[in-house]
Amino acid sequence: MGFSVLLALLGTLLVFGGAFLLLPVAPELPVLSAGDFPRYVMIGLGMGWSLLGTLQVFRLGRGKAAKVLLGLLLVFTQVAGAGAIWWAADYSFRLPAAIETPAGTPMPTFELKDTQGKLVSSESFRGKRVVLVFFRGPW
Amino acid sequence: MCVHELQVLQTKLADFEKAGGTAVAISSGSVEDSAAMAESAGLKFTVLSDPELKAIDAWGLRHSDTLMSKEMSRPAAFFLRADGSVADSFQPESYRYTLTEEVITAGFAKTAE
Repeated sequence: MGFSVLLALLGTLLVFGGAFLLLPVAPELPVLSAGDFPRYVMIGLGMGWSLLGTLQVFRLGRGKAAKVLLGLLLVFTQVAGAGAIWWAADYSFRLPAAIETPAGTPMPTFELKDTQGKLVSSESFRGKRVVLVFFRGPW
Repeated sequence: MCVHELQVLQTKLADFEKAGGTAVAISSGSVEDSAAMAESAGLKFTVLSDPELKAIDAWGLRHSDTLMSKEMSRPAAFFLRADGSVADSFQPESYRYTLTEEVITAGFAKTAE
């Protein structure tokens, strides 16, 4: 019983410790990069310990007050852990603010190779309505 | 923008060409990578390689992707009139927002205005 309570409390501490370490760096790091991966593991482990410890207390313990307190702590811990991971994951998809390109801006000129290796000038698109798409890469 | 979005663009190509338009895609990938991707995805429009990020910088789209440890273009689409001026643009604030058929159709329609 004592060990289970300790496990649940340690789980909560791990979750908040992981969130404390993760949230300030999340804007600079993508999900599952080498930098933030240990923090996700920390939060996940904490959520697991919290759940395991609390379930053990519910199974073995007799005190109603302890069960209620640990139950509330479990909910709080799981919500906080899931929230921290969700926030960091969502943040990693964000892009820096785009440079404004108002209507009427002239197309910058460029000359690039096509898939045949032939140079294509942006001037060759003059006279046509063009959908110009920039994408991350062909990998 | 990912390959799927380029395939969506491909489905609109015939409509664009009937209306005097075309589609062009640019990435920082090599000519060889772009050629392989265009062939496997069945893209019939012009796909250009910009490994030195010349056009990407000219449009202010350079983005350091920490996940892939590469300098590349942020996803963007520009809808250009026949005189080369921008009629509309799509520059999402998150990778979650993708270029849909509706966005492409609405953007292309503005190039005639």
